[in-house]
Amino acid sequence: MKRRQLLQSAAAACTPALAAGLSLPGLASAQAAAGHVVVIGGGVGGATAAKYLRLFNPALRVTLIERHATYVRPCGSSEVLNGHANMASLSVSYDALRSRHGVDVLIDAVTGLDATRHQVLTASGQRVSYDRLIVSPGIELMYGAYEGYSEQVARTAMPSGWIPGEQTALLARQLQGMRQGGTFVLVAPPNPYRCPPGPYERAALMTEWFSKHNPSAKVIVVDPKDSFVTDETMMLGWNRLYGFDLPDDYAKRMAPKVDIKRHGKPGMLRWVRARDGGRVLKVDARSMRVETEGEVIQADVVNIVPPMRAGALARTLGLTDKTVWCPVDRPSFASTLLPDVHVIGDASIADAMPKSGFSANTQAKTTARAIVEQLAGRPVPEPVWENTCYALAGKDYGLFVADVFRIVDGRIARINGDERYLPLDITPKQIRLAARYQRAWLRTFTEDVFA
Amino acid sequence: MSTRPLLLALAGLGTAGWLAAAALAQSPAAAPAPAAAFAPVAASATRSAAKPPFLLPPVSGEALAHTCAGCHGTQGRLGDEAFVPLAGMPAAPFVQTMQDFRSGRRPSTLMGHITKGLNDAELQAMAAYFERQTPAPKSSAALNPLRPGVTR
Repeated sequence: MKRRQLLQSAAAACTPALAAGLSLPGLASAQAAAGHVVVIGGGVGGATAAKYLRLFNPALRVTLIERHATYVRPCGSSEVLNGHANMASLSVSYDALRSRHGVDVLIDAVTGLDATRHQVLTASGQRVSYDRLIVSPGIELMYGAYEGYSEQVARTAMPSGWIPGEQTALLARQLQGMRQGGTFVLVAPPNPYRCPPGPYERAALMTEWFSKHNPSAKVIVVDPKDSFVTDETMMLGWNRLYGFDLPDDYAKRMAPKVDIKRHGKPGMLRWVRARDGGRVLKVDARSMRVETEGEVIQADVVNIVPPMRAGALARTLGLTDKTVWCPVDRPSFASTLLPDVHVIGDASIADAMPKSGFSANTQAKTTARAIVEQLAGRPVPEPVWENTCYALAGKDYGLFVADVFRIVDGRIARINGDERYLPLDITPKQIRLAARYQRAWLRTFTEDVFA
Repeated sequence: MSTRPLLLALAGLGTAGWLAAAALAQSPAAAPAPAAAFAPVAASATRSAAKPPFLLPPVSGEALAHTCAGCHGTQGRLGDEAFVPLAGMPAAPFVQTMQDFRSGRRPSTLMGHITKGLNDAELQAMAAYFERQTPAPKSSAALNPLRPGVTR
């Protein structure tokens, strides 16, 4: 009698689950057959991968694991510094991935990987099983790279803000509150780093802002490099907008293609490259000094974009090699270190592709396609990638990088000719249009990734 | 301010614009390039590196189309934006426009550079993909609930 009651209550307890299972037999069995892909990291790479996996095969079960409930987009985040955007406007929710695309979004921190059992371990104690795993860990800022710099210093005195958050807000307050005639020093990073035109766009936007609000201010970019992505087109914008005189070698090289003004007196903005002593040796947060190979600069606001490596999670999971980045097979972005794990985005070693959101976005799509095909027992199709970086030299002065990539001789190579940047002789109208496109791109790109 | 008419013209490139471009596409000058042009730009890209020209394996129109989505919308579906929506665009004007970007006959910001990575067979494959897609409603708010607010 007692035993029967127990069985009955057990059966009753099972009923809802059973009923649910029976009501969706097609879906449940199709998903079981199609497989389960887990994506770690809800940035551009991870979110795009999760969305496109479901677009490519709606029968696939996709789980996105991300630490933060809301994404804060780095793209366009320098515009918080000049007041064109605010911190709240950088926030993007994962709701559309859940409701429109049926992605299971799990807000949890990944703590480890059981590669043999194909399980992801999380801080809340879950073991999430996968057939395939995509890791999109992003970058880690190496705060310890310069003497006198640390994460603590970055949080309190000399912010980086390269991963947007509290440091971005602090830097915005410092810049907008800087004394009249003060000096803003931006320490540019060595290659490779996330968002190649980004530091120079930031310097430009602040120079534009200071021109209106703090006209005797100085902006000094100190750089461990002798050139940078978009350098000619960016410095041409500086030359036209801010009284910036290009280094002689640049001016000479560009002169046959475009008129370059010779201002003949120091402008608000200076670029000190490596060969002119721009490499930073140490910083002192107490005295707000930056010591480079060439000089000691007394600054009022210091923004340091430190050297970068693959996100800490990539190391925790054993996905990095001695280069501090993640080696992957082309074309599938499968890790060469762990089976059935793919690494995409800034953390991956992708040859000629820059570490940009657009790169991560197109890598996510080819990787999602590769996984869908492989799980169905079909070969990985021939991939193609693209990169577009829009950048601003001023509010209405847009420029860009435009790349198409294919696999050539086993490596990812640029295949769209020698021209990568805004042509030097382009019309003012096209320059304004590029700025307009930069603003539109922030919306359309965010939508392609998250909506 | 002076960019506005051009933007509107681009964004408003509806069926009428496509048809006009389609008429252009039928002119003799727009005859498809011969098969020898299969990887013309790839060949020129390597010339500076002193390598022999190479032939790249074909890529599907869909794979190519997904590289456009960052600006032109997922599957080419875009509401009211500065960029041209590609979903549902007839194939002929798509190919013609891209060829004109590539030759410089049509002015562009970055499309001239992008199209130099695409040969005619690839343009045809992309065109066929986009032609099959259902256009998005005009209002992108209806298409996408996500509108990151950029305040300016």
